[in-house]
Amino acid sequence: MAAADSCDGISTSGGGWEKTVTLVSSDDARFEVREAAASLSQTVRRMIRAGGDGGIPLPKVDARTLSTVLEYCNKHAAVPAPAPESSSAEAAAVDLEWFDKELMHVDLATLCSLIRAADYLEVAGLLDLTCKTVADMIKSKTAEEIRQMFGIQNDFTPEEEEQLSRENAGVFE
Amino acid sequence: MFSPGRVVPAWPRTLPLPDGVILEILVRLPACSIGRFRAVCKAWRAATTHPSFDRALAERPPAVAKVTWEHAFFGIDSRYGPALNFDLFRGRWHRSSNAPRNVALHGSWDGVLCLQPYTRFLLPPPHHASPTATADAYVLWNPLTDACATVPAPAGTGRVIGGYAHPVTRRFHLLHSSDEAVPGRVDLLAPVIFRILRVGGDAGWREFPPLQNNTLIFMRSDRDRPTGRVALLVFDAAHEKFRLMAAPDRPGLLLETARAVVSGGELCVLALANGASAGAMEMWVLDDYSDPRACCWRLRERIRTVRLDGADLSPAFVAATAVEVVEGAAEGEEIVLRLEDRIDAYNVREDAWRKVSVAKNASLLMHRVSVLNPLLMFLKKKTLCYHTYPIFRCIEKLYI
Repeated sequence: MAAADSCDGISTSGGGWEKTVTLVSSDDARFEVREAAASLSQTVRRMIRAGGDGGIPLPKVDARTLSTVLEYCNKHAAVPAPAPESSSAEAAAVDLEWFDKELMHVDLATLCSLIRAADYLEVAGLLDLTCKTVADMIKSKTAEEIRQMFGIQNDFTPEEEEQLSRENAGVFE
Repeated sequence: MFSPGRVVPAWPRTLPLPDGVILEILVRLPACSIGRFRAVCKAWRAATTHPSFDRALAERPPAVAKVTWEHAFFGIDSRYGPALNFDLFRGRWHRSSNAPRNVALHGSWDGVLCLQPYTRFLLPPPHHASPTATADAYVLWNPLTDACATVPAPAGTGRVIGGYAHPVTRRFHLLHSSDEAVPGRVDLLAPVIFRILRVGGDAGWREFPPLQNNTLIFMRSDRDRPTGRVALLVFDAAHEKFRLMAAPDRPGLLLETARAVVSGGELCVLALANGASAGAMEMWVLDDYSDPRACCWRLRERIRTVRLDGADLSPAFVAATAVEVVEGAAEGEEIVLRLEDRIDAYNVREDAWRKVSVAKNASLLMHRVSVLNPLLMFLKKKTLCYHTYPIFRCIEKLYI
């Protein structure tokens, strides 16, 4: 995205002007986004309130991850307040669901960066989406496979382990 | 997405997940996976058995299960024995056996089932309408962790009306009511005594001060109550107190048919209507709990009781032995009625009734899973050993 000064206004499709903010990634890429979209991140929202110019620095998120996060924010902030019973609201919800599904078609390293960014930026919806994706991925694994995957040391003593397997015998298979 | 295979993808070691995120992932797993992952390491075990984790799990909507009884081959050594089939509702149910049970199922609260084995080899005395009165102990069982506790039933007649894990300590408590008909006089009710038991303590059953004579519709409702002023009896677990709440009051609402249900975490009352909206039942939701005297009820849904084929379900609603509301991810809200020989469900979104199961000896049960530490819940550790080897397969089939 092109570099821009912070807090300018851009024209929206509705014809009105919307306030924008500039976010700066760890590798100094600048992203101009609508404030409504950026405010989905509680971290950014707090920084907007605190003020300051020259863009909001986000030293823990690189440009590639940030652009995906902002793609999510732009899409989700664009949805108008849901009017129940209306067919357009339902269509918008279906469209969002598809968008979320597509967004999660990524490799493990990207997913990992996204989940950390969602946690740091406090984007609740994206954190939920990424955590659900990981949960789906690991739910049918065994405890040993989980240890391998996340590089976790088994810190149970043999006695404790025997106790555990007795407790779980036949129960969680 | 990633297909579950035996080749384990390695998480990038340079990007470890913060503890908070791991907890967020764990809390989104199905219960049987959480149970399995308690064996990963001490940190995961501590995180998943902590009361706050169970509170987070409790926010998941409970599922309604059809519980039937059969003799089956099961277990690691394929033994033949009694089994409880526990079938969670996902739009419809599997076929089930119609064998009569020899264990009474009083309910499921905070992941714990309350069972009462009928006394074996003894027929119930003829003056007791239900054989539950013959056994003098309740078995509390969390099928997922296999934790179990046996508690004595209080003296006299009555039934278990509810249970809960204490909001702070997570210790399990059981509530009992003595509102049984006077033997031989179906039209008379003995004065109601409410009792509470803290499982694992030495105190035994404790009596509550008597309440005014009101129709009890929360926790479990029974028809044929002497009508009068209808109120909701709500138990406040944090303060261990019963509170009376005014029921929704609207002309034309037949409050004697009212059932209390919980939908989406909110207390609702379902009742038939007559007059202008005859042929419909109404679902009222409680908006404001703050003042028990001025309850703020709002009409949420008006539901036709006439099925597509023209049959009127109003008499069936009055006669239903259980009414539950369940929220499915795909189906939306459904109201499930347990009728004499079948189970009907109403889909709110589609505005249609349909038969979801034919079942003579099935019970309906709202159940949520809990992985709570048995030591917190029952104070001691004991696993169920009832006649045969206990086994539990991912909530679909539950054997004792």
